[in-house]
Amino acid sequence: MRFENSEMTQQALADKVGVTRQTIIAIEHGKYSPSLEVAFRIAKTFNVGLEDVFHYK
Amino acid sequence: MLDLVKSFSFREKSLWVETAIYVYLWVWYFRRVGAGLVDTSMGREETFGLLITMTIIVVILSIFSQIVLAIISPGESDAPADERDKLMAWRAGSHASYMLGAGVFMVAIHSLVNEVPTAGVVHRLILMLVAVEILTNALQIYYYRRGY
Repeated sequence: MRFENSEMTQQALADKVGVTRQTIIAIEHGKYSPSLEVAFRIAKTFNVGLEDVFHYK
Repeated sequence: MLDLVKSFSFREKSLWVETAIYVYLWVWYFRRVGAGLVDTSMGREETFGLLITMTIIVVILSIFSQIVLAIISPGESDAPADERDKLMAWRAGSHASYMLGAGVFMVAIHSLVNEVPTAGVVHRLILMLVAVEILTNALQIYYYRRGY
């Protein structure tokens, strides 16, 4: 999703969402499930719906 | 190795340094005091004097290490803890609190049964506090390495 948005860096996304870069890395690697608030903020950053970013396994 | 350290967040670096300081200094302290109390070469005043000195050294070294880390990691040190940092700290503290409870209970029973002198009881309790602090840091580092 970051690469479809001007190759946004992990740090830039982290700053927009209000978390650390390490948290973004953990989310991308599927090691951490963010809170609903952070999930919505990530989706809002990319102007997409929540289910376009996150999938329940 | 350098790349690995660079991937650490400020909080993780801070935990590594703090844990290293705790382990090095407190292991030295308890070995010294333990031997001193057993062979009676150290009295109560000496052990408590050393405890206060050690506490001051630990505090000063912790503050100094945080300042050095803040200098080598500009921009990261003033970032507030995010939800993942807080969750990991809470989880580690929660697990370590069980050890603290069990440890204090064991020290109490052991001291009652063996009629341990006051200085011995106090140092065993402080040992439990330090061990739990180190365990809390170690658990947080483990969660950081695991990703969650």
